[in-house]
Amino acid sequence: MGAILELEKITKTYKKGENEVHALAGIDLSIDGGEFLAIVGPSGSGKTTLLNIIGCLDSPTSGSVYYDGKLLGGMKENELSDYRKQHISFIFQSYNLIPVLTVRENVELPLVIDQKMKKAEIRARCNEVIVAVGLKGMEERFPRELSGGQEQRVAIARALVKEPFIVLADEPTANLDSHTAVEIVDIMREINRTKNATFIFSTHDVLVQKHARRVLTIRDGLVHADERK
Amino acid sequence: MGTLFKIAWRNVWRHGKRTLLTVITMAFGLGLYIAMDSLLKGMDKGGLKNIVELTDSSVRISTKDYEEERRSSPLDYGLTDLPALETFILKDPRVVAVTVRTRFIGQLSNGIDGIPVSVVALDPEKDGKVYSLKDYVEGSWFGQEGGAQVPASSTAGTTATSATFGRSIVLGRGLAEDLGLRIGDWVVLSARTRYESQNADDFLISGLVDSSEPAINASGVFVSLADAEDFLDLEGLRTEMSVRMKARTNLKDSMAESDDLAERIRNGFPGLEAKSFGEVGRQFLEIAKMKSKGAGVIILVILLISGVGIANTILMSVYSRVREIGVLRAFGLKPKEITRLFLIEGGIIGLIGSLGGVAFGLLIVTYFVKVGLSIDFMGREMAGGMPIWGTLYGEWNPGQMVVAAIFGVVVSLFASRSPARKAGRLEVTNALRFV
Repeated sequence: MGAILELEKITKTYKKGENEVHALAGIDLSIDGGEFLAIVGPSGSGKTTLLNIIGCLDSPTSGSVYYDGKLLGGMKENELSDYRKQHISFIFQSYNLIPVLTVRENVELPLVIDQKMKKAEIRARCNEVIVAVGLKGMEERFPRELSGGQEQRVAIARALVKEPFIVLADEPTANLDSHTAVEIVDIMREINRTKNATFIFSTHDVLVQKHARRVLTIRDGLVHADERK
Repeated sequence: MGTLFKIAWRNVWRHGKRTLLTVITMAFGLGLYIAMDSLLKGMDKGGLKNIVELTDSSVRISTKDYEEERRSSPLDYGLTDLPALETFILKDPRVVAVTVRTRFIGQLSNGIDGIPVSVVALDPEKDGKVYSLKDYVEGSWFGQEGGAQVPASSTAGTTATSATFGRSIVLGRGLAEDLGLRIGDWVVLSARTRYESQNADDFLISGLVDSSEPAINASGVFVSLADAEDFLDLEGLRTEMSVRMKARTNLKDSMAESDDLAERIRNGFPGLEAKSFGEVGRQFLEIAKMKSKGAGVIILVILLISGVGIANTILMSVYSRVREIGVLRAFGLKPKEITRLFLIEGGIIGLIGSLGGVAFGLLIVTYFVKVGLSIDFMGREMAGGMPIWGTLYGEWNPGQMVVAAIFGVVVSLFASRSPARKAGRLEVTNALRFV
């Protein structure tokens, strides 16, 4: 499969008072569809900033991002929202489930926001991913009734429910114990394999890194190493 | 929209106590507004009823000269050719009865203190068919039984009557209390006769009026035309004629009919002035409207406080859900939709508050309509500015309830607007990082 994401000379500079912080200092990156890519590096190296730019949550100071050959620069806020709605899903470190919605409603949320599928289709797709992440029987529970691992499974199900997709995960296992972390990564890998979904995730966890097929190391806002297994 | 509503609805109850407090404040303010509106409407109705039944009748006729000097109640301008006028009026099928009155200025004394008073000389029999004063008299209405019950402690029922001792007088209860007088007591009434000579005589208090018209209670003095005739050398002089027309359920119809009759009288008798209930009533309603504006301001302040409460509730909701907003934005909700989400929350709070307010208002209004609110506790001095006295009954005003509910929702939406827009403007990355 060819590159679905291409980043050219991406820089990102934040202003903190009178000082400038260069979070990304010129990243060139090409990501193929179906990759299972881990972004690693020390704290403050620019992992989250890179994910935010790939996910159109943030815009680069300079450089270009192409999705499927289309330049994303210069899009307005509403266009970026539409882009995210159609192509990208997120898994967050703190799960970030909507506390007033049940497991099923949380998982259905991206499709409901998208407004393209009928209710019955949404329900069927939702059931499918809930089974895939091992949460069958918990559909009507609220996030407060779940463990951390279960919450992250819901977050994964929510991220996977729309297809096709790029899944961006920022430290998805950081709040989980090692056993649950491996379980979660296994689920992600399985879905990556069966659905050919592109996973891009940042992590500090060496155990999680071992499961990645490509590991991108970032230091001081630059690609330090790009290792394919 | 359905999902936004679902999220909004559940978030409204996520902090139940906070929401409930806001809703209660709003419901209280709106309920109070509805109750006050009902009382003001009741007051208007009572005031208009007083105009017809106690003070001005459907049409009040006098000469143009008399009307100009009406404040001094001169005995110089009597109605002429009364039989022709009466026949003309009674020909109108809408007319129920007519009566004549003569007003004059006098001095009432209990032997120690004297008070200047405006006295109405009337025909007890015919006056009772036009006005309802008799129904409010405790004691005797010039030899007839009064309408009000006489308390056991009252001196009424003594053998002293005008039939046995001469002239009798009926006083407003407030006036009698001011002079320390009771039924059966004697008072001295002095006045200038029609020929400007001073006359004074003892009058026996046969009854006290405690009506729904505060002015009559405070200063009303009534004598019979028979007694006034030789007391003032009237020689048949009558300064006013009052007309009672058939009651209509619709106020506008009632006013229009009185306007029409007054117009016909003015055209038929060019020297006469005819004041219709329509004219007097409209003036009364204008004044009442101005007075009710003050009450409206108070309610507006209460609603503004509710609005601040709602704005605060929504703002707190925004701050406690910044990450949630970030997630919704990350999954593709547009800023406008985030703003809409919080506006829906404000709208829900406003709607519940408004419905609660209407329910609360309905309860109070039901009580006011059925039981009424006794305004005696205010005391006669404080109630002086009120158009009615005794028990104030509420009036149903469904239209105003709907307006109040809509206004409540609009206030809520307006109050939610600023925090909702703030939520819509949050940067996604900042929102997701928010701790």
